[in-house]
Amino acid sequence: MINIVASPVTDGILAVLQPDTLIYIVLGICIGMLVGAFPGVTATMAIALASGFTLTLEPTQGLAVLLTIYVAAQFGDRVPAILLNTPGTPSSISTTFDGYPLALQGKAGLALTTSAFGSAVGMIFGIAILAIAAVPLSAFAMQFGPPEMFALVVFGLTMMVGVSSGRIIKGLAAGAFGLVLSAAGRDPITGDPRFTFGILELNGGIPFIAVIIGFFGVAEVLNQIITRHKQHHAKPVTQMGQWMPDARLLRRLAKPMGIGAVTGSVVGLVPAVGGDIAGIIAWDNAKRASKRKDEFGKGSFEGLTAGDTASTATLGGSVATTMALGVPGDSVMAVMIGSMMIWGIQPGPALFSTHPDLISSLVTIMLIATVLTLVLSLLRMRGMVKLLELPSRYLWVIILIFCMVGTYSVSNSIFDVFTMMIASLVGLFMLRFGFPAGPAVLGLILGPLAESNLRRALIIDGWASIFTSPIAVVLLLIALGALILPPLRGLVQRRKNASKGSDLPSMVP
Amino acid sequence: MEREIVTEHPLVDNQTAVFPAAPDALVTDRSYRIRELVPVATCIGLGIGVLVFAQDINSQVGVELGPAFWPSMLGYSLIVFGALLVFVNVLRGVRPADIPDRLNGWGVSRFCATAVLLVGYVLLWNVLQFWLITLVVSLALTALYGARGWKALLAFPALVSVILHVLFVLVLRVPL
Amino acid sequence: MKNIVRSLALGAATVLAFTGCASGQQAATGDYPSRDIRLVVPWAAGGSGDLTARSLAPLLEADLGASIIVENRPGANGSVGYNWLKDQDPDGYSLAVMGVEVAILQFQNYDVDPADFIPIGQASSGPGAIAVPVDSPYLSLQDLIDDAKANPGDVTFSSPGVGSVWDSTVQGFKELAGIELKNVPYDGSAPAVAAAAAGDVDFSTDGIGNQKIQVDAGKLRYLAMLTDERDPNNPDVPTAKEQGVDLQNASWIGVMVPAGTPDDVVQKLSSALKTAVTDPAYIKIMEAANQLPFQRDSAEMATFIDEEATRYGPWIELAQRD
Repeated sequence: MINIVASPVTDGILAVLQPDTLIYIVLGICIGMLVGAFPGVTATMAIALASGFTLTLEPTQGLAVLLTIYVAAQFGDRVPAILLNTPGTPSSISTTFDGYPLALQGKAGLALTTSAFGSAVGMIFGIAILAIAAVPLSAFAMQFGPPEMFALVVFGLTMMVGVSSGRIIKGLAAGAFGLVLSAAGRDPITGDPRFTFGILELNGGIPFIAVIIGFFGVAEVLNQIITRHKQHHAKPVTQMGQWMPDARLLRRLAKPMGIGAVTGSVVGLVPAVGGDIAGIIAWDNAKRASKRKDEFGKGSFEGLTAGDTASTATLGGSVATTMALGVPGDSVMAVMIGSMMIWGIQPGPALFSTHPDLISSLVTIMLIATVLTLVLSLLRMRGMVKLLELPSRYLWVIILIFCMVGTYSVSNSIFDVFTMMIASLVGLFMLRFGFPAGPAVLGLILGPLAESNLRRALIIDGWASIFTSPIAVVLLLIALGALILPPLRGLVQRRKNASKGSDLPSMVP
Repeated sequence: MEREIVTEHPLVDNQTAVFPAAPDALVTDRSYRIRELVPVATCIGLGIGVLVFAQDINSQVGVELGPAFWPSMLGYSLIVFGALLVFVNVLRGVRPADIPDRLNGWGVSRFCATAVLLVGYVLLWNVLQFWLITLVVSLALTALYGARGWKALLAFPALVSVILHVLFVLVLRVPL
Repeated sequence: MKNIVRSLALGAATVLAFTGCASGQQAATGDYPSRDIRLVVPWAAGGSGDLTARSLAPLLEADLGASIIVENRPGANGSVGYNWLKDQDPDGYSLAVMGVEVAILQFQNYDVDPADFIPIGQASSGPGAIAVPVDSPYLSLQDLIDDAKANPGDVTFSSPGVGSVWDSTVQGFKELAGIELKNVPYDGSAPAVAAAAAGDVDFSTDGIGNQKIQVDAGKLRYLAMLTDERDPNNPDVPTAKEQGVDLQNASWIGVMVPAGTPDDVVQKLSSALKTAVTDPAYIKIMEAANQLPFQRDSAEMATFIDEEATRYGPWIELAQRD
């Protein structure tokens, strides 16, 4: 029995441990880290380009290049998120919440290192899930029809409260604005144009990568441009502080890493939901569980690691769903399915019986890629942090121009660039009037999923389809709890404080 | 327009801790609370706009919750949130953390020049050589932000354009 | 410092000189094609259209002797890419991949007119099938029709999107069989087929190749092929025609240029495409991706697109009245 199971597994591992395959892995890592670090250049794009060259390779080698690009991009995209407040890819949106404040506090070095460790832990956790339980878990993912997806997305939307950094009403308003943006385009069910104003490109909806780049990176630069004085000398980041997290910090980070790993793995299994959402949900979960809630959003290592661990942990789940269901877990996997079919590997429920060695090859490739990328990112950090020592005028030019070219390269569209520029003006307005950008992005990404799945569920079986699904009901109850409990707890706390004699905050002159 | 409101009212320097005792204490100066009417107006205006444009969505297909349901729901929510903001921020006050840095005249003109340069940059992409226009625009921006000297004004823009040209045009084959 | 700057400047100059020279040399060879050709894919990377373009490009390069650069210009059901092509110089240096949308977007308030383009030819075909969950009570197409007649509007199907090839196909099916069905549109073929495999809907109409994944896995079962004759890979599955519903449909992928392109250029491209589509390497890739390599030349394609437009028009109107 053991022999039958063991032989395809060892075959799969040995197939990867060939010198030429290892060279392809290193090549993939270099490409992945590079594209990850450039805002706008997504892993999807790099993999689509690389797949043109990998078609002629052996399947194992080709998969080695594509998968390592996918893995390494997850490390590279943290760098601009922490140093420049610009997510390299949407997966690192949650990295900006705490990473950028940490960099401003002069802890960029430590932030980059812990972020890399968190990403590696999440990746390994996700890979473990892929190795051990891909088949049963993807069977669970198959249970997610429209009603369950709707409930899950509603739960995701309640995170708006968490990422509002205390400004709940403004956060909700920003979230509603994000949802409005996501409603532009063709109606997902009837195909009627909505808010397209006769602009052809709007038929496809508002490009969300362009909006994210505008809201986060460029808006921040514009704010600095209008507030800094002519003679302003940005305080140079002189003290890098520690590089390596010490034992005390690591112990404190164990809990958020655990939360992130579990959140990310679960979210990753669900098709069409990826690392961006997982990071935000985990950040919020870690905040609830933390003893230092007030640090979140102002430079918390816990928040940073929770989000980063979660967004990489989705990779294992995403690969599992793709391989086991034949439904792409995210846009990167959509491209990868195409390549695999040409190699004669048909992703889908039959894959695990027809190619039992493939899973162990996948796992080995991803593990090697994770470890090598971690080492490489740790080595390279010092050079990266030098970026912060540049006077801000150079940084402004770099961010503005790179964001514009990067946005264009997503789909070779000038329309996207103008969308990004308008989004940066809107982002600037939001920044100056205290609207948090996190909820707006959450609404923009989750809006189409929420609406289309709700309406699909209604077409299939009316409202009954939602209330007769146990998964959907449980998820909706959790969502309701997430909305109601924190304000209630706050109220109780305030009552308690008041009875102790301390004043309500608003009474202080 | 809205932005000028900030400049008109002298701002209390955040760093000089005017409210040392309670970090959560709200700033209740009238000027800040009046400034908070801008978000209120934005929310309500946007909500009404969404509702107006949602009227235009018409579909012959009869399905439960048609195409206009979702946007209309969002329009009403925006109006409600706008109204709630009156109670939260205008009547009670603003958290010190939510008060942005003060803007200055030089900054605003720098911002306008940046906007003009960048729009021109995008429009010229498919007209001129990409590396050339990148060189010119990054040079102009660097000069605008106050860099002087040949190293800053020539070497830096050259470096930026070479990196972008190699990465995007040669390697990624982006049509620029 | 000076040295670094100088070497940088030198490097930049070399790079620029190199690219300049390369294009200059090509120009010297004269006749079409004398420089790089752009092949635009109006969809995002991934998916069969993108795959077709990227597999065709090296073969066309070999035949034409010019570099072919594949670009994705996705958006709005492909109409962004089509409109981009319409505005290019009709000189044969701007090509686009096309799908059936080119013929049918005009019925859906999009500004896409097939008359603005000249087809080069067809590259592949993806015939459709009706498939049901493996434990479905329907054993033949007639079972499905009977159930839909007994419970009008209760039978649901998944389609890859409103106004898509397969959504329109079901409109034709409804008309031919005289039944009412409920459309549940998904965001693309993979999730639509998976929804049928999970039993969320009663049946799926999609490409045979797209459903194959779930059929091989034992989650879906073909009920009828929407082809003229039985599919050689599935000889046991009857066609819809055999079961009394004369319905055939296939998605297809072709290549086109803007209207006004000189005829000799069109002919040259058309014959290059023919060579590429009949190349064994291309056929192997297409078959691995569950697509059918299929060749039509420029003139045949023009007639075919007209036929498609006449066929789809009423179906889409039917869907809009629904």
